[in-house]
Amino acid sequence: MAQRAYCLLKTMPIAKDSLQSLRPADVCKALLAALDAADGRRRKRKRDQTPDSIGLSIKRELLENAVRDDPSPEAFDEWLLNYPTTHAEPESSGAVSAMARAVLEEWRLAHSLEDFRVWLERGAPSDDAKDEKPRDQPGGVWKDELNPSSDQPLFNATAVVLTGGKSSRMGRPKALLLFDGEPLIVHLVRALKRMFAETVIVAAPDQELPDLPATLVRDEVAYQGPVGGIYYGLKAASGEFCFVTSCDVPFLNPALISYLTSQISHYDVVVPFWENRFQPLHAVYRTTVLPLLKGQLDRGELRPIYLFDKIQTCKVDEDVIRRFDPEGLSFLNMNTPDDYQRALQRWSELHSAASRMDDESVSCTVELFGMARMLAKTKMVDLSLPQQATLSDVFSELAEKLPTLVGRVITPEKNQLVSGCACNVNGLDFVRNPTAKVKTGDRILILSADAGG
Amino acid sequence: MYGFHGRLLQIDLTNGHTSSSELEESRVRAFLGGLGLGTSLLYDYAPTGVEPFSPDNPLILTSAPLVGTGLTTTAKFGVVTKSPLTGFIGDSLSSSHFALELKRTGFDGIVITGRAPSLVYIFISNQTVEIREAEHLRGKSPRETEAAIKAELDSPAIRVAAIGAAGENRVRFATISNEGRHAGRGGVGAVMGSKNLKAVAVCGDRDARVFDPDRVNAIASSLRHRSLSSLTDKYRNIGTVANLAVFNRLGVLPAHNFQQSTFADSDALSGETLSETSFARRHGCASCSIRCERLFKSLNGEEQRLEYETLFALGPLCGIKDPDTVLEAARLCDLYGVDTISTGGTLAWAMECGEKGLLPEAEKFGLCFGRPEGVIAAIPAIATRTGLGALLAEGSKRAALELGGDSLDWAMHVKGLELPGYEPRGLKTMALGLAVSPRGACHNRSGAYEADFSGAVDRLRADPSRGTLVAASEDFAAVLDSMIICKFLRKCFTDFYSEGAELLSKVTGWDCTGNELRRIGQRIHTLKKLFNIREGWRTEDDWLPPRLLADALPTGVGRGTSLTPAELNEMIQSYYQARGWDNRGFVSAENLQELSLIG
Repeated sequence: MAQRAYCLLKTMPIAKDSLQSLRPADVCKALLAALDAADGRRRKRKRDQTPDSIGLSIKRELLENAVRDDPSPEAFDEWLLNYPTTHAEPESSGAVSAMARAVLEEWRLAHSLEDFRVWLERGAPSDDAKDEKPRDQPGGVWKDELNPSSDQPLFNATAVVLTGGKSSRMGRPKALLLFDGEPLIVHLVRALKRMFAETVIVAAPDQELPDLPATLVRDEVAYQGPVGGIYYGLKAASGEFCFVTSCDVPFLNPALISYLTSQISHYDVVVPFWENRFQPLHAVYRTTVLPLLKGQLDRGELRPIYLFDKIQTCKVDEDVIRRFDPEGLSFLNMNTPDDYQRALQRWSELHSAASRMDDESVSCTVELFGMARMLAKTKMVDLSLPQQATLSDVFSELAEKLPTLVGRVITPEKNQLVSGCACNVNGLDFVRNPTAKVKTGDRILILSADAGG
Repeated sequence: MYGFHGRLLQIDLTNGHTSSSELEESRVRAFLGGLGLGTSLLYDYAPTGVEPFSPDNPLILTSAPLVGTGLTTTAKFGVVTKSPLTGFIGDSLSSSHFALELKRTGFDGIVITGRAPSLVYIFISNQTVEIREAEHLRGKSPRETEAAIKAELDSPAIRVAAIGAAGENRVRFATISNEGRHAGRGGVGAVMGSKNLKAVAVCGDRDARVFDPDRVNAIASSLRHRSLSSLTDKYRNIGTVANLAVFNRLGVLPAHNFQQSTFADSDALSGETLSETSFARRHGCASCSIRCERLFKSLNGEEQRLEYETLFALGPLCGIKDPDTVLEAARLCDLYGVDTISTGGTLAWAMECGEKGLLPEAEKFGLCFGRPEGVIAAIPAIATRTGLGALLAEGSKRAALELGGDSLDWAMHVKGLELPGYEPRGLKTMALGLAVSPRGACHNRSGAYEADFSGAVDRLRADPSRGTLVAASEDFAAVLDSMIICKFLRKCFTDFYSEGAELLSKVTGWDCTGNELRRIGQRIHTLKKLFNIREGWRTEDDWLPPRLLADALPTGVGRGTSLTPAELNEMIQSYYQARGWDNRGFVSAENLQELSLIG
């Protein structure tokens, strides 16, 4: 469970009030106990299924220091951020940084997931702990986190894809638009099946679709708009929660979807708020809202946002969204042939970039301050770059992800900062040379070049 | 003369005499206007060893050659006196319409001596001077005073610089304020209060001549254009408050009286957050294209200006994390006319003393780190010298001397001036700049921190190269403060001395070169040092508070970095060498000759 959760939830922000009930030292003590338990089981089974011993000792030392320093919940992010600088030799700083990031993710999980916290308290049992009693799974979003097989989807929930719209401006069904030779609906279902236990497609009464590994339902009454689609999808779902999407969005973002889904525990709906609008067709709904949706259909109220006034709504703001999806590509939908062409172009660029990334890519984080932060509407962006990447590559990649920075923070050529901005690496060195290499774990700060006050 | 009127005004408040005299061109050629002229006049007019609150301590207001030329950021004036906080030179700048109107009176400088028998204000209209009764203005804030005087004199064209209650009560870090701006540091307002002078009102129509108006206009247009580039983006679009998040991230944001170098709750106070949640509007000084002022909405719906130093000093330095408390504290500082940095620094000292049991009254007053009510209550108490406020009104140095014991180690000042929001242990060039500045711990009389942010030096390491950097930065600042050009424009010049020399020449008609301008900066700075030496400066006055040398950087990036006495001493020695002074920091005879400061 932990591995998959980490890669999908690593950027999850924390609600301030949830921080107050839990101290980092408490979580770190539990993680230390989990390390001890894992060590014990490993020795007992006489095989090594846990991370290598160097990584374990780095983690153990980090946790012990956290328990000793006892930083406040509000200061723990920063404590972890600075830890590699103050506690690592230069040759091991990469490994220490990586471990600090892992602990940060575990800290965040401990806040956001009751099940993870319970798992931790019970000593982080592994999947082959045969002599341990299987624990009762509380009803929750997470599916079988005790058995983190890579073939199992992550969420014990349903993905609903609405294909029943008219596509009148496109001139042909949007669900069948081809990307890399396959209909878009095939790509969407494939991606969603990796994340959700069940996929439901809601189609118009006479709509033709390819064979798909999903449950197909049809609108009982055609063209009742998104409220109708959501209603029929939720009605067909076997789970308690549904992530609902339209079918004309080529760039679903698993990290963002995971985040949205993870927030449903205390709400009836988790809905992004992007460019001053709710995005009801990229939201997670609790199936208990079905009666309210029925009422809306009966009254002819075909706009989903009428629902949000009546239920516990988690509105996810832009700055949170941008942490996972800086450009908001999740909401880029296609209505016209020109939109489709543009999406094809972007698809091609993204997939070319992805294919250049291999397991030896450089992962770094850009932290934005001042005007850069206000323009980008986010504090930081994670980047994955090729080996031997330089600061220039960082700026280019950043320019691609956050075009609003071009001209104001990054030069129009996209390979340097403008003269009013400066770059600092890891909070230590101000670096002017854009050909300076970047290492995995580096934090690249972009701030004003003038510190006058 | 071009650029100057060539006239000085002397006012003796004791007997009400006023006189004007010629301002020699040789003086302004050597020292320009602004703080250069002010330093030169102070050196000549202040008797050696004068007590700051003595009637004989001159309070000098100065204009400058670029004022009124339409060049961006030049609407500024200087205030120079002997500081009651440090006992050394007290030089301060303020801005905007008062500066323009001061120039229009036809005087380049006003030297005020004596003490009026009762509270008065001065009204200068063109070259006519009146000393008017001001008892009815006692206790009023500077803004209220301004409004009252304008109404009384029935002229909206009049501009007023005034003290608040703090100045009247000789709070040692009281300011002189005009249009919401302050000649802020060193207690120039207290000197004004000691003279029973509530305000100076000015009005005039005398423009100084410009030697080559067409060329000056062309330069003005070019400078205006450059002032709107990315180089000033921070100032134009977020303000100096942008520093808070950055400094916290770099581990150079002093908090809890320099016991920490990061502040856990900085996010709520950051410029980015304030801009999103509380921004009201943007404003600027007269004649300024940058317009760096940010006003934020406070809880009661009023607008309050906030700059980084105020945010730091009344926020993290005192452990305060709530923006509304900081805004209210800033409002009170404006209302009473006190320097926000020295206020915050003195309060933080009191908080630490209270926490550690040396000052029980602090706790009774509510002065504890992070407690808003203590800060809010303390500022009026300081301004009126009530209760504990009477001790705090003396500034942290004197208060610590009075309290004694370990409290001396917790008073974070240099020469009596409280430290600004740049943690010296994480900014080693700045550490040197703070230690050696004639003004005390000042972030404006040099831009020493610029080296630390440039990447050209390792900010966490001390080395002997910093002496040259600090000296050059001081000279640059001295020239900017005497032309006068705002420091926020400094990055917009490609070769400042050449461009500045041409600009000066086209205004004044002088044939000024870049080298001459550089030398003028050295001369101005050296004269400040000479004044200090005359007034009792000793080598040990160029140093930093004990905490910065005893304790390593406590939190954040660079945690554990220390600044040792040996390192500081080495840097100070390198600075004296760069200046051509002896190894005790005294100006040499050769230096005097080189800079034509003989006599």
